Amino acid sequence: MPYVSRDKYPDSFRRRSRGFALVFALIATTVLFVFFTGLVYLQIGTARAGKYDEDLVRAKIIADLANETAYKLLERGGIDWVEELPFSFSNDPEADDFFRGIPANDAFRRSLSAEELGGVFRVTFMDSSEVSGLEVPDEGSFWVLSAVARVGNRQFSDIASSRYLVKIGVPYVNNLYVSRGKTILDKGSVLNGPIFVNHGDSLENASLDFLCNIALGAPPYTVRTQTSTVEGVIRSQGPVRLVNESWGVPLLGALGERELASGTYAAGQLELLAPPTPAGPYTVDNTSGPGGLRFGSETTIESHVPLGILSTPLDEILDTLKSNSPEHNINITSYPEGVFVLFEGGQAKLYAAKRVEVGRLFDLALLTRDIDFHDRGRMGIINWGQGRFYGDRDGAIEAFLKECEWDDPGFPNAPIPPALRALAQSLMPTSSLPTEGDFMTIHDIEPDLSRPIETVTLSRSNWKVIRLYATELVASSDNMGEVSAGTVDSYAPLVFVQGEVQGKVLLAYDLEGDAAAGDPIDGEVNHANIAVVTDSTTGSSSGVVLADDRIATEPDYGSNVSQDQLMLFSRGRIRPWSKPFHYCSHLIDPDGNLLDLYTPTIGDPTSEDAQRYHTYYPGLDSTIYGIAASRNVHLHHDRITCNGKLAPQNWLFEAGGYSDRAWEHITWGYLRSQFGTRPVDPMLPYSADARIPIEMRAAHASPIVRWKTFGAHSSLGEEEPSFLFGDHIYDYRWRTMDAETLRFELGLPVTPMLIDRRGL
Amino acid sequence: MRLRPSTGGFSLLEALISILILTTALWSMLSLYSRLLKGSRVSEERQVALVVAESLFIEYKEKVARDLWESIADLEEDGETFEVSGEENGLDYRIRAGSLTLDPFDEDGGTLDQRKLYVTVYYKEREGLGNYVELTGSVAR
Repeated sequence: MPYVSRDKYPDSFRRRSRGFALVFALIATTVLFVFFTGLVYLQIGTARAGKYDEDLVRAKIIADLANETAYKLLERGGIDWVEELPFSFSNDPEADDFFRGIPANDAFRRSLSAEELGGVFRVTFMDSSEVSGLEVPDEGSFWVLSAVARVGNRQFSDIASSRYLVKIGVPYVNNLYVSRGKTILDKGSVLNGPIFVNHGDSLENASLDFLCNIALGAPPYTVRTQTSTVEGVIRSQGPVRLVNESWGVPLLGALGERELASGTYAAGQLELLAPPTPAGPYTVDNTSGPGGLRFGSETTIESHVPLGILSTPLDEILDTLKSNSPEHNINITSYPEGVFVLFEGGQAKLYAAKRVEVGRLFDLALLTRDIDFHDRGRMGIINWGQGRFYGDRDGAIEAFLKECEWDDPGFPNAPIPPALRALAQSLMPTSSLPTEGDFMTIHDIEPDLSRPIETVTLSRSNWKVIRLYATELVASSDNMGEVSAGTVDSYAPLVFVQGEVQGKVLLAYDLEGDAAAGDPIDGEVNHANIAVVTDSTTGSSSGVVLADDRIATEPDYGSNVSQDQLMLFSRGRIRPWSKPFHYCSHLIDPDGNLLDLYTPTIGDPTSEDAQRYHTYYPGLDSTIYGIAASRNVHLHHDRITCNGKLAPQNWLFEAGGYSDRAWEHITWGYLRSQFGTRPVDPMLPYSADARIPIEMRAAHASPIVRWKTFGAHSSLGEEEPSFLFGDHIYDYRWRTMDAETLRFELGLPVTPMLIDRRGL
Repeated sequence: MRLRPSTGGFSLLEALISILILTTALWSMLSLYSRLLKGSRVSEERQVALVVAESLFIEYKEKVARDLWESIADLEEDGETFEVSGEENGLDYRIRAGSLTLDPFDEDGGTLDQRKLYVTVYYKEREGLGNYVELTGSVAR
């Protein structure tokens, strides 16, 4: 058969393969399969993404839980629980560190098991120096708790981490509670590390003042210009307002105020420089008086104070500070007149307190004193505040005399003793003086040696813990100088403290039982108060001092630390109590004579007492060396009465400005601003007519004596303390001491303090 | 010899088989895709629920620590447990506080100042992956 080319056949003769439709169907199916498979993968990816997020969230929460648990265990077990850093424990049964170091408690382990939580975690304790990129102060002891949690199987798991920064130290000397008052960073002071402001739940009142040491520029006082530097990091959640308070009066304009944006301010940015150097973001004009910088009240400082501190009962604080229970628990409820703790001869001697009448203070005496001061070339109300208010000195005198004639129903009335009247007449020869006047009785507080309560022998090698407590509150209108009108508050007996401490002692004052239950720790009600007696009339040392005063209070002091230590803890307040020294040349003794304590004590300019008085740091100061902590550190009244109404504390504040030494830090500038610029609340009896009674009542508690606290001064309160009277020189080195120094040199048990947390 | 020309086209059997294959494949894939779409919708709802749950967890972690701690303790003393429920973003939620974490150092059954916090958020889809998201964490004071 001849070869026939296929081309020669017509198409109809071409052979067509059967089953093509099946092939097409298979191809189409394959295409569809691929297409839908792609969609399926996309959907699976979407679903997996959703699943991924959920696992990540769970992992974050577990990591946070793990770190939280680790921190609680650290608080509970103390740093000795962690034998050596780095240290870790995990809830993974297959891990080598499965609940390492934690007692085998089945219920505890079950609550943290992988089944219960849905994931596994590991917490690692490290020294901060082993963690790179971590910003911590150079000094002090810091640990990092790092938790890593995993949710899901080993191949497809999501991992999250959490990190806690923990300081190891003594919380009550590391949490600086600063408020409206003036915490002075003394000359050359450098505050290292972050600043903690224990402001409780509210950020509204958190503020921090950096002031140059205020000293009035009038003779005989010395103007001190200071340079303070902040080397830590201050994180501000709001604008930072810097105010120049030269002469105690905020200056206006660019010189007086400067507002910085919210943010973080590091070292140098907040350097406070002595004028007139125009350096830094803000320069203090100190050419005409003392200056300073102040963060305004709207400033919020980031706080990392553990919440537990704010609500820890005092006995727990004691347990924290001392592993054993207080050795001396003394119920002082049956001493409504108060208890006097006298440190003397290496002992703490507890007596019932006794009030001794010193003399009477007449309203005319106040005016007389001020005129006397004026005539001695010192500033007085006639010259400054009221002088401006009344227009001239003579007009002011007559106005005040008229006020003296007014019979204040809040005070007893008596004929003005001839001695006082004669003195007044000599100073106001042309004036017609009243024959009667209001008066208040001035008391002194002394230990009643005939009523001893207990004597505790102190030791320099071991801490002695004395816990005073009250089980009942007694209605009282006079406690810590608080005078209430209309309402009578209840208080526990006052505790007065004075003397020379030789040894290590922790004195705490607490409430117990129903009294404590009825005393919500809200920062507003303080019923168990400690008063440091500062008997300034004697010219001798007063307040509480340490027998061995080698305590670190100045940056360049060296490393010596006093063998003696005092810690004061109070459920209520810690404040000074003193006789009104500055009235002592015009008091009337019970026999009607002028009681001139001024002349025999410091009236002689050649005497040692007078020399000390006229130095910047007079020996008359009340001084606490050591640590004072209270729920709410108040060194002034909350309120006083005036014509039966409550007056705000700033009244007292300015009234306090009448005191001798307080002039240095409670300047007339405040008074002037009160009169000149601030509106007067018409609902309050704030007028010139009420001026003298206010001051007289202010004298009742006599927050007059210059008040200094050397050492850490912290508050556990939720309300900001007001350091209105006196200076508080914060020993920042307490904060920077490492755990070993605190433990082994100072003998203080250290605890962890959570200061930062990252993660959830 | 003359070849008889092919008739051309598909046989009925071929066409039927092909249609059957395509139909089966298409039906199965659409069915799968439909289920996936449904699953995706469920996942989105779960995502929303998760976001709500996380938000509530953080909110209540702070609220319990600061404001509710004492009242929760009072409830526990009365044998009750703290539980709140409500609606957030259209989703029902329930929040529970667990008992205090046991202190492993205390043989007498003491506790730490820490407790579990459970946040459950329900979403409307009742099929598939379940109808709620629950987060279990802790809160400490």
